[in-house]
Amino acid sequence: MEKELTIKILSSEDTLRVTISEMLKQTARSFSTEYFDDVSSLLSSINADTEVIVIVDCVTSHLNWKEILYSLEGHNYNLYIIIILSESNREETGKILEAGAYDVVTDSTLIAIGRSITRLIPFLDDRKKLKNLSHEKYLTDHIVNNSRSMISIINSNYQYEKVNKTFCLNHNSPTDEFVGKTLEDVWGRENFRSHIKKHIDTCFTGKVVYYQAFFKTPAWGRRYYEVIFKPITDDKGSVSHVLAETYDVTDLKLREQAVSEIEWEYSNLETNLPIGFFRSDITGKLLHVNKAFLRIMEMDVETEANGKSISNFYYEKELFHHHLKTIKEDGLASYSNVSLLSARGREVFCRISAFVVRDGSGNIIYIDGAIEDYTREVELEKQLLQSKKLDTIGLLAGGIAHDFNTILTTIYGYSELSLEGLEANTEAYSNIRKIVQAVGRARDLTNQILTFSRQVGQQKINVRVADIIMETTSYMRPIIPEGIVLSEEIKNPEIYVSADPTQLYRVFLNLIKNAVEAIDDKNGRINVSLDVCAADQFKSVSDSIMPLKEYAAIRFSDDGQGMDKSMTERIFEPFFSANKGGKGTGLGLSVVYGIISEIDGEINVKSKKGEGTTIEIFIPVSEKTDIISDVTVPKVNILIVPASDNETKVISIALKNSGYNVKCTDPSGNWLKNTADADVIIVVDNLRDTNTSEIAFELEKNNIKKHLLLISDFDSWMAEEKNLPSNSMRTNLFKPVSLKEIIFSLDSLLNKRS
Amino acid sequence: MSGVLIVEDDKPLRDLLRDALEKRKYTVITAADGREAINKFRPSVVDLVITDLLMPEEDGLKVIMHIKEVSPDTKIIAISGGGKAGPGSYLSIAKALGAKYTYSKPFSPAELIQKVRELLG
Repeated sequence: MEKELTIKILSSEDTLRVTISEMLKQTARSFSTEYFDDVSSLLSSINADTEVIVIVDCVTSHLNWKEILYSLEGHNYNLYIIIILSESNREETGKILEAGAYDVVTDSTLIAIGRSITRLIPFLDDRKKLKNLSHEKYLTDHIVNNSRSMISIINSNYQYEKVNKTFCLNHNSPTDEFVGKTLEDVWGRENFRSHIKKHIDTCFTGKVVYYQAFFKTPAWGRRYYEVIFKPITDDKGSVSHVLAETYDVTDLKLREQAVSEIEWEYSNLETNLPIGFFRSDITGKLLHVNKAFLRIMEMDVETEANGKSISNFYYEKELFHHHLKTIKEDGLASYSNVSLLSARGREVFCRISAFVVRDGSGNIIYIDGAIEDYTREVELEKQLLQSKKLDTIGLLAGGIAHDFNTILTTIYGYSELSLEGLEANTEAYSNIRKIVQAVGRARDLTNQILTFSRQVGQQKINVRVADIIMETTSYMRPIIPEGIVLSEEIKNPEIYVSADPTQLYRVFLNLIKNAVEAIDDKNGRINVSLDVCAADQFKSVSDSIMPLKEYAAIRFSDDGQGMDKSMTERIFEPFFSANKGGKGTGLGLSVVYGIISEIDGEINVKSKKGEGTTIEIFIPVSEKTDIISDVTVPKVNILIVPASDNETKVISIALKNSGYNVKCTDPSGNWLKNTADADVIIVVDNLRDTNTSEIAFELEKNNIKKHLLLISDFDSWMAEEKNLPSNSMRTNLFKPVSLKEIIFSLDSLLNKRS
Repeated sequence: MSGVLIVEDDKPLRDLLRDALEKRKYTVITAADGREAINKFRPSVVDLVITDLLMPEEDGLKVIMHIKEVSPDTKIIAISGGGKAGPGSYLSIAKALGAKYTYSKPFSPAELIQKVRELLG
């Protein structure tokens, strides 16, 4: 016959009382319940010798568990107190259990009361046996059973001989479930063999074993335990048993883990954030810096920075002292757009923020701060501003150039009209000729401005860059001063780009002429190199703007006078001239800029005062095909005169690649026979051996009726060809000529024929 | 004598072309923009049109299209000072629309008048 249990419930809330009763019904044991509203009536109902379970509801009774446990203490050894709290709190639970309560549940998990009582029942049964034992042994057992550690005694067969209450509670089973069972049965074969057994074996040699590990317990789930195995010796002094004591250190362990995780995260942030952190003493001497600081200030190791004063990184030392003073006075400060100097001399634009660290008595002991590197943003902004500025100037200048061309036509036209009735030897004739020459110069200027402002358009064809470089250098070599060595370095000859060869020629000529002027009549070297590179290799240019493809990199380097930064930023602006004495029009590089921008290229200038300049041009590489011929281009035979001129060679490359049949000849010997199968003869005036008007006369004299395209300077056309008899089979173009113009003129001439 | 319509928004240039043509005994009509040109154009009096391309109101291309529609035989010469896409592009379009000759400013008015004589015989 099982003894009926008495459960006393201290609660002022009816609903809770009912709920508790319902929960208790689920335990398979018969019991009687009594309800109390206050502690004193509960106490007076307790008989010293009977076993009683007391459920105290701390939620609705507004009772403090401490008071309850204090009042009940010493009344009865056979009290089992279960405390109901409003919410779970592991720490508080621990304290309550330590103070002598049997269990703690929360009002949201009242079902646990049933489980708690079920677990308690085997103990109550054990207690009957204990009644026969001595009071002393009873007390010892009480201590052992109320320990928060799991305590057990293991024999040499790895069997449990004794386990305490906590051990049973953790496994949700009564003592009988363990006594006589092996550790392998309880903890699992794998776990026992690979983790536990070796420690017990060591303990059986007489040593105390201490270790920590995760264990899976049925009641608490995965917990982290600190385990101590202590040898128990028999009368003969040999180890007969092992005392196992296990503390739950899960909370401690979790806290440790959280702290180390946070520390790890912070150190990760400190290392990987692009923000440089530093700690300095009150004079600004560095004590500690992070990796980002080293990166930004271009140093390799922290020892390089430590001991250095932050003032070393300031361009203006005055500014440093001002910043330091303000930080000390105000406690904290932040400055943007501070121009710093890295250890390797690079200019770094930063935001600096810092604050003071004080000791207990309020004295400043450190200055902690951060630097953020904005150099790239500043550079990009500058570049964007610069290209916007050039666009605006181009738009403005292009508009003016357009109107100017109309005005020039009027000036020129009236000059022509005036010249008609005048003798060539009169003063008026010579004066008007000078007006016309000035028109020629103005025309050249408007043409350059329109090229800069990208308003002329380009006929793009596939060009082998190396060919155009070689024609440019071979043209320039004989005419540059003797002390200058001009060399080429073609690292990759098979690079093709989509461009107008005549315009590339113009770009390369301008850049070499510029380099020659930079060397300024001294001895020097100019090198033109060609290679292929990826967009991300030209660093000062934003990779987000440039699509990732291959670029032809053409570099023009000279060891001339070089330029300072303010000058390199402005050299593409029209009429900005880096040369003293105002050589040239100041439009050469603007033209370069216009042409290269038109073919989606980029220009990069690297220059240092006194050391020379490198201008790098990057043009997207095109597919390597020999000819991109428009299917509508008719098979036209073209004869170009002269053959031995670099400019005509470039024109001939341009026309061949546009699909024309091109032959070249020099105007000497019996060259006229070469004109036999030509549909069009193109004559380029080179101011040396080929004069367009002379050739036009020669063809006329020999009765050769061919379409004729004369390319000359505006001025020499004015002086000579203008006087040629009118001929609808003849057209003039003025230098600098573009492929687009040539093709347009060829079409006009040939349409006339059809 | 043949009649020439000059369409040009710049008055000095318009006057120059008129002076030069009248000197050679052509009958000259002038217009300062495309709309005026379309209003003034009469095939019975105009044998040749010299037109600028970039003008206020209707542009030169509109003028060429109108003339080619109402009088396909009228000869056209187009002149341009260069615009956003370059003089070549506008002149190419003018040519495709039927302009016989095209000139990019600054050009030689004397040469242009030679072409007028060539076209009008």
